[in-house]
Amino acid sequence: MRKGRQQTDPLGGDEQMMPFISIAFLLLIFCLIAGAIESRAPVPLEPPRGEGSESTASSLPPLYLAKDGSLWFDGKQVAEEALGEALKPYREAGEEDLRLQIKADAASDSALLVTLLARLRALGVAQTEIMTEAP
Amino acid sequence: MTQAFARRSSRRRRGGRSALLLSMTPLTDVVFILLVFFMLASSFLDWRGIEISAGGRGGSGIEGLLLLRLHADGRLDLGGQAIALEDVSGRVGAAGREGKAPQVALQVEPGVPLQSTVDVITQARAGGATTFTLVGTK
Repeated sequence: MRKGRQQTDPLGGDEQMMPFISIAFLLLIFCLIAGAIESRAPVPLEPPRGEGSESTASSLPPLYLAKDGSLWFDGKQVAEEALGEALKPYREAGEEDLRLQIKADAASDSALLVTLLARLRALGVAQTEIMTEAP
Repeated sequence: MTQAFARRSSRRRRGGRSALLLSMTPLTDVVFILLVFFMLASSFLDWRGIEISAGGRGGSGIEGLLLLRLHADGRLDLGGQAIALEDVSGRVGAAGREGKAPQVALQVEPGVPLQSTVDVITQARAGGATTFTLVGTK
């Protein structure tokens, strides 16, 4: 019995794995095409749902505004007053038109965003975008 | 020399397919490792951007813009007149037909969640608005 199986299956059972491997390959190809590798948000975030345009590329890391109002930039929590210090290396690197993406939680206070935008403008950020998730 | 070659080829023939075919196990391992990596590292969120600027203190610098006011209790008004969220696109579109592309200013009270602001912006965008200014109440 064992001998007969060996004769018909030269790969010793590997051929039975083929459908399984095919599914794994299909999943891999799906992940490669549909997904985009990006750095993880430093805080749990539920982005607002809404229509927007294709985002323009930014050389700056995004600024995160959490539900509790805390600000996160470049993986670290920053106070609103310390944003100038956090953006300093990018300004010194010769970035002319600072473009910043703000990834804010859907439940965060819009009034916080008003003061934040005003501060960013004062710091020389030329363009700010609020990031949303396409519905 | 010829004899050695003949011996080798006959051994290969005797060994059959199993000697030539590779085992699938290392290949499967690599595929699975790649799959797990991409599943963990990939993000399937479709990010969109809304360009927005800040108005001056107390709503200055918004003269000539279409002023939409969002209240903390969920009410919405356009130029002091109460309006439903669904009517925003129509009203913005009507303002756009009168002249150039409408520019919208959103005045938000403290406590208005960002989702409500984005909902209004989405409606205004549907009406043709392209520029948005966010202002506070004080």
